[in-house]
Amino acid sequence: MRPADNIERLIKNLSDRTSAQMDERVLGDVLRALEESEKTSALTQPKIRRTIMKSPIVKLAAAAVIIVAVVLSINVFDKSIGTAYAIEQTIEANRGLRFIHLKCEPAGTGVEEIWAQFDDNRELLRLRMNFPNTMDGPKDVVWQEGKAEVWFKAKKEIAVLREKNILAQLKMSYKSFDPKLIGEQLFHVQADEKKQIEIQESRSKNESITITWTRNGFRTVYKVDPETKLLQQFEKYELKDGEYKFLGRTKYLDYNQPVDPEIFVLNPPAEVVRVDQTTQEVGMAKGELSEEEIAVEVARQFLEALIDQDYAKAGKLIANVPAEWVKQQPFGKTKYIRIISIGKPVPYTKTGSLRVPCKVEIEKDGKITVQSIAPCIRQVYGQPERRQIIDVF
Amino acid sequence: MLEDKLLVLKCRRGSRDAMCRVYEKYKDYLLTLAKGLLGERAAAEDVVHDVFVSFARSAGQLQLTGSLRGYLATCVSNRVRDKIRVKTRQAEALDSVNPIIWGSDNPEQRVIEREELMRLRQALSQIPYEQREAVMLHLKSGMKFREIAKLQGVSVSTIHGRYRYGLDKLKSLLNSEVEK
Repeated sequence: MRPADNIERLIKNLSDRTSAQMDERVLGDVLRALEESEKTSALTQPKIRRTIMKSPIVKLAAAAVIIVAVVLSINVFDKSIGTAYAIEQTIEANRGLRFIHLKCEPAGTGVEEIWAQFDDNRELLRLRMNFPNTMDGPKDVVWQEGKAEVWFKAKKEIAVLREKNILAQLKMSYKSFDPKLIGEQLFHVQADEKKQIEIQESRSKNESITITWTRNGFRTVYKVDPETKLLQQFEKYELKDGEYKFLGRTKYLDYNQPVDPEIFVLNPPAEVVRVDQTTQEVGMAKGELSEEEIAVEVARQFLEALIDQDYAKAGKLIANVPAEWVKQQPFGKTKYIRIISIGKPVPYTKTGSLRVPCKVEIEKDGKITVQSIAPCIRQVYGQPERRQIIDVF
Repeated sequence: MLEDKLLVLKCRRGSRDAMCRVYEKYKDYLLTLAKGLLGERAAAEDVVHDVFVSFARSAGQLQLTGSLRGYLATCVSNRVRDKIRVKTRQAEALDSVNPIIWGSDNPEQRVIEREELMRLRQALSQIPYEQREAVMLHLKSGMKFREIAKLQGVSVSTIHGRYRYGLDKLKSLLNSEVEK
């Protein structure tokens, strides 16, 4: 078939993909631009008010509205206890926030506990997030000074990373729990979509203020401390079969408590290996190879290293773990004779890696037998051009 | 698209998550479109970058009448034209990055298709820009001729003509190459 016969199909099938570097560059600039535009719009709002108020008719209308509001508010205040709550009070209460500790239940595959410390400008200074059940197993993450330390508990390994995308993701994950940002979001929703927000004032000092936000089949119920106006917790619900079913709860346990510096230090047992990926190259360079080709190559080199008992080389392909660590693993204790076959890599979605099924000859109890082994290969965090073994089955 | 309307609404309120989602959703499509129009990956990346940054800057005031996809495609097309205005077309600037084609599991077929796509990209860079834009926006972006006509500021029949001449020229370029 001549190519010209397919022009329309070919053009429809044209597909380019952005690189990780491009994503990083564009997303960084986009989020900065969004932030700047927010600041600008906040600054221009009073100007709009001044422009509107230049009109004498608008002035009269505004005066009438104020009179009506005053009359109405007198009636409202007569029936309620204390001053009416406004979401701005929660935003204001979070302005001086220096430290926060919160817990989510059930954590699912997400974060379970967060500790965050802020500087004078309310910029994140330190962050710790514990994830009990991720695709890499349980992991604790500490972020500070532009570096993230990730403790992969199942693998008994701590990786020190400096990849902007991961750091941005961590900060992004935190932002959905930030009480000030939550307050700002509720404030905007209240301004734009008044019907979605319902506020129930507290009837006593011991009862929380309740804010209910209902939209598109979801409902979030926020509890606010009537005295401090700080967020105490929020619960999420999803509409199913005509009922709002509970999804999860986030509780704010501490605000501005004295910070224990140990919170932001990972204290693993002695057998945990620490790999600083900000200073060491891990795994193997991908070069011009395709994802499948590099996965096969990494698997081959790993098996060859085990056959040669070159445990330092095998360790480098895993995560720069030392030779001693490799020797303690089941594959480090096996005597490999030769590679029989290396199969086609298959995606292993649980860890987002490529699993390479291999067959090898091993010597066990003086006998030669055939063993199946499957290294899983994935991109090295912080080193997008390199690939490493993240698991061996 | 309801999801897009919600995303735009959230972007207007300054939602970073929504902005990231818009980027994730349309980045590859816009890069393909920009590269198809410009023929050069680095310049196409710059165009996509500028489109998204500009989208983020104006998100607060954004009032969409049509689809988000169409809006972003129009932004790419406008940026590409600005770029071309200041820089003469450089057909030789085609880079060597292989395009990706989906929907074929046969490795041999994939190699053939990859070569076809390389030739197509070269051919695209040789037809006049207005024709290329009509072909790309209609076939890749699914824009209607009247929408492209509005964008280019010409009549619908002119766009019909540009599209037809563009396809004919592409066919003739690709056939002549095969017959060499």
